[in-house]
Amino acid sequence: MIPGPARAPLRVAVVEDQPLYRAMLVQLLDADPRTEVVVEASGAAEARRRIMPGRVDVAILDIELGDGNGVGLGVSLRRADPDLGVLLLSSRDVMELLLDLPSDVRRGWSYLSKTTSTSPDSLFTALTATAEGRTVLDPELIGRSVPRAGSALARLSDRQLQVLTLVAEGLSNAGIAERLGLSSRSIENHLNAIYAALELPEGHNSRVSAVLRLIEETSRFA
Amino acid sequence: MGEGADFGTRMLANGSAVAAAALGAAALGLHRRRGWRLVLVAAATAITAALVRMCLQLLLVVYDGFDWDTSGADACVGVAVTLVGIVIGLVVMKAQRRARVEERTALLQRLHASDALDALQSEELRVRRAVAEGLHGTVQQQLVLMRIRLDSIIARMRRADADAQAEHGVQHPGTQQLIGELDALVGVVEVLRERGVRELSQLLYPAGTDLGLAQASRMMLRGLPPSIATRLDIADAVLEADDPSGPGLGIERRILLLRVLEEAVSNALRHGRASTLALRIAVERGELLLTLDDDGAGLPEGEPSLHGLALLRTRLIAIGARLELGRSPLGGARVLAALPL
Repeated sequence: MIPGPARAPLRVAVVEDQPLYRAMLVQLLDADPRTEVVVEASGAAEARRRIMPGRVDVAILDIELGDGNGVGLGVSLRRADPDLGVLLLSSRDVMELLLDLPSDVRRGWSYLSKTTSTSPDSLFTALTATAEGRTVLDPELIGRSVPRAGSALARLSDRQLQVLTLVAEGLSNAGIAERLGLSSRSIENHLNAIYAALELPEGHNSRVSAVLRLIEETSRFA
Repeated sequence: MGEGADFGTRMLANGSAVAAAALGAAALGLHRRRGWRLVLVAAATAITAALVRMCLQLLLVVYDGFDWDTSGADACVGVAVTLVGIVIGLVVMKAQRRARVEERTALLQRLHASDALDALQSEELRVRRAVAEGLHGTVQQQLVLMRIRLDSIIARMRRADADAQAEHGVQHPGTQQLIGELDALVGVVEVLRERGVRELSQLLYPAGTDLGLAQASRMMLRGLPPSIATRLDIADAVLEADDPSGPGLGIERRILLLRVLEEAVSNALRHGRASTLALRIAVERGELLLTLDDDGAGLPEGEPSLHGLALLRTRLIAIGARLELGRSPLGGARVLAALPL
């Protein structure tokens, strides 16, 4: 799943039922040396047939497919290939879908909205992070989210919330440190404080669980 | 009258006559006859029954010896009584038949009404969904494109203005004002896209309905102001019971529960002035239970006011579900909708 030091291009599957959007996405990904589209499918059934375990690093799945639901498809693909990253795309704000994922497949799922100002850069960042088992949320939707009164998230300091938001954007600790002009050690300390405040056990899944709390304990009140 | 003819013997003769009348009526198809045929068959049945009775009375020695006057009068009475019995039987039978026909007609009407209601609801849902999707997709996309075009025009105007200033050292007097007006227009488009379209779409079809009750409930609560504390407890069994990739609850029942939640949340915030809401969706003893607790003012004394829930309760009862209002452990009101699975 994790590309080696030589940085082989990420093998991406694109499952999208709108032909024009799919073609544009494939063109964009193929034009970049960091990614290579290995499977293109217009529906869930075709994707199940063509995405073979071990052949794809990340599957970009449209949630509203003509013959099924992208989430259900992602769960079955992930169970067949535990190393597969899943990036959900939707024209609607349905980020909460990530909260109801079965616990055995919760790692390495990301969500980007088609209608927010998702840029090619944020798409590539999300693909890389997802392939590494991290969870990336749509930056614009997270930017609009406000911690809800009474929640553990509301008890985080502004800096801690800023760090967590950058984790949700798919940045690594080094990336966050660079963005905030802090040392990696400081970022680690912030993250440990965040896990403690959210009562999450330290471990590989804490990062994913902390990011999901950004969906669970915030309001997107317009 | 025979001295030895006891009550049992007389009843045997009379009962046999009644049985003969019933058998004769059935064999001759009395209930199917009309007009003079009916009269003829009824008369034949009555005479046969009277003769059977008279013969049995003679055989069983109900009377001492044979007397034409007595036996003739007895036979005439037998015919008359049988005819009266036949007339009463026909009237009762006709009334029962009419009642059965009316019952069947009413049942058919109810079935047709139910089918028509289902068709109407399905069509209403289809139209609502189509309009909601149209608003989400086409209208929203057009507004996005409009905003991009406006942004592009503003950028071009700014560049042209900057060029004019660099080359001629002067700004076009109206340019900045026009840019300001276009900026304001961008704001209007954005508000229209963000709020107008979304709120209208929500009115038509609760967001996330097609993704299941759990998702749609989460999406509904996330839109509440951040000052309202919310707690959600959605059991895994709910995700199984309402898996949107399978038959699940069905779109109508899901929408009904979402409308209950919407109304309960609205009541808690508007009438109860709650600051904490706790939603629990679970499956217990074959029922899907949706419970919303709040810490607001609670229900007023006496008969609780249902507000908009009254109509929803009627609709829930119509599908075998129920709606209950009570006190919440959080201090405010509790609304419980229970739907049989």
